[in-house]
Amino acid sequence: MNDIPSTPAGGSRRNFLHHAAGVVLAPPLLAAMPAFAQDAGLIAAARKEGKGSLYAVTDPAIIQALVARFKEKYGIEIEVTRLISGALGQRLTAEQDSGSPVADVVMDTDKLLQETLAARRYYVPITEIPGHQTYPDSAKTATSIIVSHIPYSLVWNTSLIKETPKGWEDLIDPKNKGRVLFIDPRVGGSPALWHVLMRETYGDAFLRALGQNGQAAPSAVPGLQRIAAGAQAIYAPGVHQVVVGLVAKNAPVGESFPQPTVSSDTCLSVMAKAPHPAIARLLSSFILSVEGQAILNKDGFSPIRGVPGTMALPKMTTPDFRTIKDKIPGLVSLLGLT
Amino acid sequence: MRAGTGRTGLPAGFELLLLASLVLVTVFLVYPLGVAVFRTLGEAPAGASAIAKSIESGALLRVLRNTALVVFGGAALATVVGAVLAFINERTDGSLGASGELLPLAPMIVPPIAGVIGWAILLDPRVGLVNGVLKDLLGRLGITLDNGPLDIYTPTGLIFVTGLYLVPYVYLIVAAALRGLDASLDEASRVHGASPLRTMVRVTLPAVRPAIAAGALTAVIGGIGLFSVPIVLGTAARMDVISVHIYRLFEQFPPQTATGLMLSAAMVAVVQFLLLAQRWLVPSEGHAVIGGRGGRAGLIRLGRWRRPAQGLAIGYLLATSVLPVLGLAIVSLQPFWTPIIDTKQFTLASYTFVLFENGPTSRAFVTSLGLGAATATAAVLIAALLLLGSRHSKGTLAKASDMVLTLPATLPHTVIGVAFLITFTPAPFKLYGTTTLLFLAYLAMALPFAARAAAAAASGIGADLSEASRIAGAGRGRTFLRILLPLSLPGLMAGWIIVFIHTAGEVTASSLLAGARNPVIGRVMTELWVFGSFPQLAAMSIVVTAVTSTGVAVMLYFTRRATLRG
Repeated sequence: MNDIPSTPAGGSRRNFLHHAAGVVLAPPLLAAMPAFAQDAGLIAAARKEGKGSLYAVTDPAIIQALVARFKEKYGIEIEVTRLISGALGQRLTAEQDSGSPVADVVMDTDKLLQETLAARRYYVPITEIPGHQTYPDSAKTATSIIVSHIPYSLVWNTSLIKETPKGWEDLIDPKNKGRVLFIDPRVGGSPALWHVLMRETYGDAFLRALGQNGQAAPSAVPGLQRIAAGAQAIYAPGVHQVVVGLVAKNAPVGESFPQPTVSSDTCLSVMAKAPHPAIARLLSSFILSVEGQAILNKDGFSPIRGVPGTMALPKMTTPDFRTIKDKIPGLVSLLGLT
Repeated sequence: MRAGTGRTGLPAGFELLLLASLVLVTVFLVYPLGVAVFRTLGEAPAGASAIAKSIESGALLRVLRNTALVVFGGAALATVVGAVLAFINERTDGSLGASGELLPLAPMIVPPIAGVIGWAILLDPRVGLVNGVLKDLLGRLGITLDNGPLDIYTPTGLIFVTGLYLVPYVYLIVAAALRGLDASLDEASRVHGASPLRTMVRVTLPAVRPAIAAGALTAVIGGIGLFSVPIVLGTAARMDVISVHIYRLFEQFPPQTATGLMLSAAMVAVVQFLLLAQRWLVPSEGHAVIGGRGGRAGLIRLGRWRRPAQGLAIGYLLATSVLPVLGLAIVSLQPFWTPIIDTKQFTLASYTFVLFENGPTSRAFVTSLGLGAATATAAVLIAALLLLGSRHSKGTLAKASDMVLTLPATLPHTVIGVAFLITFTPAPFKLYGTTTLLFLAYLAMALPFAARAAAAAASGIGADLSEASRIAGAGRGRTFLRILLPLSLPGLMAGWIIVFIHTAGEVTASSLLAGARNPVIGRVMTELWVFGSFPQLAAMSIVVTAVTSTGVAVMLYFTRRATLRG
């Protein structure tokens, strides 16, 4: 289990990082990485195209830092649109149908969406993205590359729960009755994968007990903020990026990665009809580069090794995402949410 | 001569204009829905079987039961509170004056989602600020509580907040009617020795019955479509309602468009039924109207009831506007939401982020406020033309106008967004990604609200005035412009404000139609809720509240001046 102890109020960010298991402490790798993002021809072509457009499901602060660095480096501005997967699918479809594409690059966590859009040939093969070679096969499909692993975690308020929870079972422990918060599996995308994993691992009784012990949250970010405020004591499935942001502000939250867990992976694809094809490729290669990864996955999990400030991945399981939608009504019923 | 025809018996120029406008509006509203339905016909069997499965499992019925409970509970609360507050503020010496006029709008001025989060910050059972104060007070009485005493994450909490959000719908419409009401009835009641309460219950409020009914109906319609309250509170309260249910059908991938559209069609039927019921229950005759004679008399003196009445109004204002805004203001200064208020930790970082670092914010303000004003003006003008213009025709034109304008009322905004997206994206329109597309979708959503306000305003104007105008030789168009429009201005302004605030903060359809190139406030707020943090969302909402309330105050100031002059 990969434990990240809480940062007590007043504790420093450095303390948090030192405590974090598996932190890679800034190896001087930047200079040694392949220069795929430095291709002069591509940069020149991209600069001629003007502004680029990125559709992403990532924390605004992180994505702003990423595009700000890209602009600083290449002088090219990127407009960011943040969308959850349903709206993203609708928009990309509308853009293709109308022949007026806007998106150049897409970053999303919904694998079913990616598979569907790939079948419709919305994306270019990843071989067209400079730098794809440095990524392991396990992080790639023909048209998408995983740029962030976000393994689901257990999160708790350290003022309300003094002892580090042992695992997912703490969520159904009677001592936590009325103090548990869990995400509503109907929110779409990948959170329901965690519920399926729990059901497959511990049986129906786990979800029933979870429903009785706690309350559902409509979305991960608001849910985790309720934990930080002490409105509820313990939460799952936690999103590491959000926890990192809260810990950095000295919020009293602790996080661990009990086994088994599942990851919400952010995948990057380049649109086949990108209005700015050179920017799309340059931006993607920047995101794939060690520098881009260090910004995107600061205190998080990159699919490639040697990225400064990232952590080693916990062990993860992958439930079948293709059948997830059919399983959601069963999950909702077991949790007693209607 | 039959009303609705010219001197020759043929439709006059103005009638033709009305007819043409009605046809245009009908095409504008029905065409996108038709396209959406046609496109999803192939999926229809799947949609029907999904609904059948949902009914079989009881899930859909639970959703409908929850919706009825929340909507009717909330609308009932809103009708009582809205009508009483309007009476106090418009007809009695317990009025709070200009501030009393602005503040009942506050639950609407605080943008959706953020306002509800403001309530959660106050009434969370464990860390709510109000609960903290109450726990302290009870502690002094020897009662110790771990949680509560109030819990917003319950069905009652959901109904309460829904009700507060619906009060403005009732207040604005009833207040406008009361403002235009001949005061001689109140005076007669008073002369006969009736108490202020008796006068309110027996005389004044019954006199504006159509406005109260219109307000209540608008509240019900608004309640069915209300999304921000149930999405934030309903999940934890285990109260899934229809707006959230349909939102989820469209929000997943691939979207269950056919199921969503079928459920939406059912909702349209419900609203049409409600409108028919309203016409049946509240005939347009037999209530007080603005007469051409008489004028405003003095306000009702409340005597010993003055202070309690003012207390009630102030209490409502505190509860609905000051406290949630205060809660949000505190959180906007904190690094993360915490019930421990430590001023040393306060930071402006969230304001800096939303105003200067988060790219789309400033453009979102310009786009949303511009679209808000444009949509409100267009919707109110269309509704006024169709409903006031056809007011005395009593024929099919008036009824048809009412039906058409209220058609989109319960279409969830997501459905309107999808319909407009798939209709206006391909050639020949090619409006995808444009502000025009946003405007069109907003206009469709705004028409029912404008229509309710226009209908209420129209019902308060007596036939004698327009008859006098026509006897004096003015045509229908001239009577409309010179008599009906100016007299109904306060009521129409109420509609304008509702539409403006709604449009400026619209969330759901914007998530499909607005993008990086044309960001709007509602989208930026949703992004901050789903991807950002409470302090950022709170900071953004404080800024939005400041901007929209200034706008509304300016509008109210000018309307009041215009009305007083008139």
